[in-house]
Amino acid sequence: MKLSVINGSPRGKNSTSTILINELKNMLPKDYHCTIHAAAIKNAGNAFQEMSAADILVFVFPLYYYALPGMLTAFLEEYYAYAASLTNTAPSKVYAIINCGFPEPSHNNQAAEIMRNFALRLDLDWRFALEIGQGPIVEATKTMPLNGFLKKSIYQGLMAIATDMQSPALAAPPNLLVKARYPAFLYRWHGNQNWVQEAAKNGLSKKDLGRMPYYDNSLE
Amino acid sequence: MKVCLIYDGSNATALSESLLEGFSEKFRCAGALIREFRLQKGQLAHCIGCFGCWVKNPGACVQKDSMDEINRAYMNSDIVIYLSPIIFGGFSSQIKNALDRSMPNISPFFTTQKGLTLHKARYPKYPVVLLIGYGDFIPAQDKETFTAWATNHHIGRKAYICSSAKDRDAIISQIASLTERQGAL
Repeated sequence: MKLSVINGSPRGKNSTSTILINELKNMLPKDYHCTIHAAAIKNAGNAFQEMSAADILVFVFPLYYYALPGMLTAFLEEYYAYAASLTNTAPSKVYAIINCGFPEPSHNNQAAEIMRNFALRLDLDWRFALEIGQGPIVEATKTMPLNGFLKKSIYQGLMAIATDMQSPALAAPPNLLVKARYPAFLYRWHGNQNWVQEAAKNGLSKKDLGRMPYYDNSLE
Repeated sequence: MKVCLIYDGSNATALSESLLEGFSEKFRCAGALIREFRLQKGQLAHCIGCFGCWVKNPGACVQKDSMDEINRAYMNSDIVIYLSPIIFGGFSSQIKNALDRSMPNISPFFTTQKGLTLHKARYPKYPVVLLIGYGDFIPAQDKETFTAWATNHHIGRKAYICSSAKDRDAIISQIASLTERQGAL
């Protein structure tokens, strides 16, 4: 089996998407040949070729403005133009793994639909999306095993994708919505603290974070 | 009244051009000040997810291109209109880049509304935002995705889909009546 994994995070190697990709890779059978591509349109020829020849496509990305990052959007537009002109390609299975910074995984719903619409437009075999809430917890606790108490549902979600890849094609299952086992109110509190700490590293106070640089300017 | 138009110059169609012409005409008649941003492919860099607009240079993107001007115009408008083709149920990459990079206009801090988490406002007042998606042939599922995406996450935001001359005329008249209400304020 040939697998193409597309890392749709503009933060590339330092992203939560990269951590999730590595976890997924470890779950695959030994005879699965997996290549990973950054969703960059520059010199994408090689990536496009491998993607169109793959049995399985996995798109892994963070939620930007309740949809795909602009970078991945551009990549899919280009890939669609490339792949729509191809003939005689077997329909690969398509999965999406989406993580957002909000506690509620349902914020990812439309991003999952966009991936489904993309796959169906290319006559590919859309399977399902793993929609992850509280995404930053994955990176913040990366030294702790994904299979532990806190992040088990995310681990199981990735496992569900790895299992589905190896199953005969049945009807597409529903999307999986998961989050780390951590209360949303505490998560929000930590999130807010984090911005203050990050700002302090840049010599800024909490008050500075509320700057309004465009306030009361004339439009001309 | 001030109006900011942000549209995709790389994916213009006869329909999108006549739509743009139609509501620009209405705005001019109403005496509105129009600021236009016709975004070409590659004109705006994509958001790199650095959070610099929240913790380094609060309220402005750290990447230097026309985004600073767009965000300034956005915050100083009464109405902001995004016009983009609907691609797989979302906006085109040109317009998506502009949306991703409007993040400096909101606050990093979380709040909740109706049980869902969202970001706090940075400014005391925001423009009315209209999202218009067009296409000569838009699959039903893409339309559903678009409307849900545009309206589910922001209260009061309006979404329009334009796939025919009839849709176009309806959208223009709806925007005209909205303009009158705004103008009366």
